Amino acid sequence: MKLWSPSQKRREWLITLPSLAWLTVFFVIPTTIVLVLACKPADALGGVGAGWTLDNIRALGDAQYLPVVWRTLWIGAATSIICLVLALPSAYAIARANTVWRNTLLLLVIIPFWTSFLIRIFAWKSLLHPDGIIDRLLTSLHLVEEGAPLLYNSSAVLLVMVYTQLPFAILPLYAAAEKFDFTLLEAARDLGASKLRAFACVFIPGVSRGIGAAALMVFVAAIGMYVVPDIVGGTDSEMIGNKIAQRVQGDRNLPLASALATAMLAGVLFLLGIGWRINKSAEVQKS
Amino acid sequence: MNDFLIFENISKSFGSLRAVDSVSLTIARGEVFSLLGPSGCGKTTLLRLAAGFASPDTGRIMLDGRDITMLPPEKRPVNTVFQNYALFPHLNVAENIGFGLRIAGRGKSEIRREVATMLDLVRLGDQADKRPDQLSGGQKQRVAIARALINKPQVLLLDEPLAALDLKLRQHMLGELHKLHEEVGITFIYVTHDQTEAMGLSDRIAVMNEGRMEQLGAPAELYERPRTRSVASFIGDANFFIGIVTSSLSGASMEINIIGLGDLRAAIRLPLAVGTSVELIIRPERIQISAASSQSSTNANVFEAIVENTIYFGSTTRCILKTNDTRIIAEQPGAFHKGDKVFITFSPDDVLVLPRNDGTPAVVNESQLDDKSVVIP
Repeated sequence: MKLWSPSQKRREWLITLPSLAWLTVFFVIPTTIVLVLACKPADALGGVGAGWTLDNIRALGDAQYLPVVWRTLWIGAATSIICLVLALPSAYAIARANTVWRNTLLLLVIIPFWTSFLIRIFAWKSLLHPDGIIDRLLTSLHLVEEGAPLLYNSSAVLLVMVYTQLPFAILPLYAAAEKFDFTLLEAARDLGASKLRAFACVFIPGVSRGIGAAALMVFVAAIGMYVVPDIVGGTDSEMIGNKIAQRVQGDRNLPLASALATAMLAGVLFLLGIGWRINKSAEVQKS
Repeated sequence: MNDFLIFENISKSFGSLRAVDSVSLTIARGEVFSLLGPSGCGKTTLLRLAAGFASPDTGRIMLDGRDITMLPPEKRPVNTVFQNYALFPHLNVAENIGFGLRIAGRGKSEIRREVATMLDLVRLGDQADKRPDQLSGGQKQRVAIARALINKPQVLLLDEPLAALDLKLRQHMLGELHKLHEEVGITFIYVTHDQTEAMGLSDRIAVMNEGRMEQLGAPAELYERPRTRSVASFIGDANFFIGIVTSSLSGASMEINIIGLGDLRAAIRLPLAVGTSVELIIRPERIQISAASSQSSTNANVFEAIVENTIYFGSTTRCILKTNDTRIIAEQPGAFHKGDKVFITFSPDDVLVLPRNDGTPAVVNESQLDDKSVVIP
């Protein structure tokens, strides 16, 4: 245990203060407001009534939410899995490339962030539009039937979701792959493993931490997604985020929206807790 | 000797660097063969070509009558002990050793049995459940060897396997490797820059320099009859002199004049004309040091010298001697002191004579000793 002198302690506080203030104003207070609102009754004018109630929490049991929760989870899981499958070979290739190539490839991963998130999703909308080039190309190749829409369904949501989340899978995986000792792959080949087998038996366990981080990042961001299903999705591809927005914008029922948001927050915290436990037990095993 | 592993005219370049330059080698079944040379001499590249991690630009590699040049590493009956061990960090000792069998799809009970045999062979029976990062350097080394041997390779490739260990452990592991070779009996190819490791372990050594093979032979042959200066300087310590053949004495020796030292006699092994410029090599331990001139043999070379410095090793003392204007290093048992006036004696048989390559300057300067052998505190 390290002992701090009082002056050191004060300096620590001073350094931490700005970020602490930031978090308090923009995270702790809004979250508290949401939590409080979830336990308030809604009034007819879209405001918040007096007193306390658990009606909003009970309303979450409504049958309309179950398919949405289910869809949110599977789209989140599918996005994570597809992103990992694409990101693993990418991260491997970037880590093995020479310096010039490595920097170029990393730049290519990061460049999309220079354009607004919304604009990129609208770009997808015009790409997938019946008059867009992807639809026309696939139709002319007879890969899709004429008139079968590419847009406004769960596949479109999944596609654009993977597109937006892929960098968040590649970057943590690359960070893990960069530290990986590639002679281990040679050792595996030497002992009889094919290239693919060596990748699966040695590289993947070697970057397992990165896989965990990437999966968690993508999944948590994906299940909270609102913009993507709102723009490229249809009525049968709504996610929890859309339901929350409907409660706020359509019904003007802030307490119910808050209850939904609280439920999702609880879900995410639960997942993070599991992730943390797995990580911790891996560490204990190691030492 | 049968031809088991053959490198035929192998070359390999990386960019403009010729890492291996037209090397041909034949290694016998069951032999311990060392590739010895300074870093960057091409020895590791040659080993990687044998393992299949790289393919040669020209030439081919034959193993037991089969061309393996283009085979990927997993298809070669060859296994490697890596310099940094390359143990799989996510697997324990037993799983590391059993990796090859697991990949080959063997049954669990068979793997367990074979791993137990290997653990016994490398005496790690009580470490089976440990992770690589819980092992000492020597233990990691033994796991790496067991892991490579479990696939029953025809050739075991060892890439500087002892480089990361301290001196005492290195000597111990060298003995272990020797014993291991006697037990398993397969061909070992051993890459090292350490001549004592190569000398102590090998049946034959190929000395490499700048991608080329300088000389190939048994350890004693390389030590007693180095064919080039670089081989002589790489294997053991040596005094180097440059001189001119002044006369061929009748019989077995000739006279050579060395500027700054004088005339000495050397045994004739090559016919050399009078006037030929030659390089002389004399091993330090072949030079006798005595307080009085002992004329035991009339043919011996005797010089008067002054002890300039001594380095005490225990079993021997290394003396840096000055005779006329030339420094000579001699290593003999006994106590010698700075400033002593002594006589040095060496037989013409212990003077190795190499004709000098053209292009090297004929001028003799004050220090002809190999840098490595001059240790002046």
